[in-house]
Amino acid sequence: MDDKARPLPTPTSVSRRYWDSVNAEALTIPRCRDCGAVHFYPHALCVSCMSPNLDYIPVSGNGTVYTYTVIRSPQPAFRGMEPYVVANVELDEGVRMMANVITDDPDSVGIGTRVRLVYQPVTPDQKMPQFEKA
Amino acid sequence: MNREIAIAGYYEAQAKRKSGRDILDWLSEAASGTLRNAGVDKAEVDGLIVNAALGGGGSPFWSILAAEALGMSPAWLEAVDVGGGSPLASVARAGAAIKAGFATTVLCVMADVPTVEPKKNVGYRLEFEDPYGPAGPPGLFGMIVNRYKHQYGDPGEAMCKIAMTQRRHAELNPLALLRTPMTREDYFNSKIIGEGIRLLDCVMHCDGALGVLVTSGKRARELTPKPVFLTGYAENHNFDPGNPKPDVTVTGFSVAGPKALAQAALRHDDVDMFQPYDDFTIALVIKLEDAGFCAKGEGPEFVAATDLSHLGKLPLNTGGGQISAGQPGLSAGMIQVVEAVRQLRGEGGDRQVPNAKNALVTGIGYVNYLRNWNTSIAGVLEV
Repeated sequence: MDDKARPLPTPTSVSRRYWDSVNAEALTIPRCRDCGAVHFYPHALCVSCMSPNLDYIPVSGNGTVYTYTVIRSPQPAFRGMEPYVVANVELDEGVRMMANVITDDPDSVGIGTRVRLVYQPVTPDQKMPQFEKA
Repeated sequence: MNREIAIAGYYEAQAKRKSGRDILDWLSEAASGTLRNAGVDKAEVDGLIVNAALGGGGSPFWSILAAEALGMSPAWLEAVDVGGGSPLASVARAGAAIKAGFATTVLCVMADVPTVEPKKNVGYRLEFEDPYGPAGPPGLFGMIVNRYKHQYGDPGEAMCKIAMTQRRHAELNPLALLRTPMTREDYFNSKIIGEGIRLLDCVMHCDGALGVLVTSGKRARELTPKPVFLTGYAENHNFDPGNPKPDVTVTGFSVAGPKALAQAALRHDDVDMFQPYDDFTIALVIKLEDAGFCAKGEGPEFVAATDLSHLGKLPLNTGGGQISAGQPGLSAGMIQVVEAVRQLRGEGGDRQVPNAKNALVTGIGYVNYLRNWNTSIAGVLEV
């Protein structure tokens, strides 16, 4: 494997429904039909009650940075992009996602920064959820 | 727990970066070295445990291949795959097999060669982490440090003291790879990998192997005047999984740490030394809190107020820890086990902890998606 190539998401039978929603620019997250718990990343069952009955619900796209780091010494595939923000974003719907907060000023991002979901095309067939400052 | 299970011998190979040696080469060195140290015949060893490794040990047939390579015909065989927690877990699993009657004498031998054959991520990381470039565990731990700082204040001075204390211990450990004295300036001037984590907060991968021989307390007393007993042990895996918004500053060690100490009937003040798995300095601040040495958020004050040197009140990673000794992949957790055994036998050389009767040892495995580490293991070793 070329360690200089940027890693891309590779949907599985568990995550395909989620990635389809990302590619349609209408991101959805799993919610349990039995106990109502939401979770992220997508699992094949509810991680709260182990029910297999999951719905996928839309999100507002609004969130807050729960924590973050600014990568200053990246792995080979990301060299030249530093400094960039890797964030743990808490969506208003109550789950957390890893994503980049895309900005020209990484040092302006911190815990509590409000962010807004955007979709970044990474191949002609694949988009990735990302965030920008709201 | 009582004194039914004991460690009767140990071995630590001189670790090396980019050794070019096959994992079975390392494994063989540690296996024969451990038997030699324990003074037991191969014929007496009827159990074998190896660790799932980052490099070279990824085969689904790993434990049977290891038995074949070592020329052993064990009655009981296992590969442990709880990440960096595997070495400490192997001691307890050996004990369980002995108590169940599956084996009498178990060789726990751990090896890894991550600088010969670098690891590749598997599972959700490929889809949900790697595309965002978090720079591996340093970035993931950087996010934990920044949240910790937000909730409780900057732990940077405590992380610096931990790094410097361990480096001083490494200076006294001939097997440690990083033995150059470290100043406060060296620490704070070291390169930032991801905001929150400096280079000198991180472990450095190397290749290596270590082993211990586990047997009944009775047999261990025959083999050595200094058997080391496992008197407390607890695991927690995948702490708080159903919570979509966990506090990332709290870990499963808050469950396993107090449980292991209670089993050994030790209070925190009774602990003679702390040999915690150290992938990153912040992990030690969090473990001191979660184990109950101090309250959550008070780790930095505790570190500032406590002499952590080998002659101090709570000697910390007296061999330098993995951060200064080098991290031989997923065998590295055995560094803490072996150092505790060495100290408890009075074989600590220039870094000997005076009158040491017990040690709290820990293991950590994996970092979960946007949470803290997955596997938390605590063990108490006593003479």
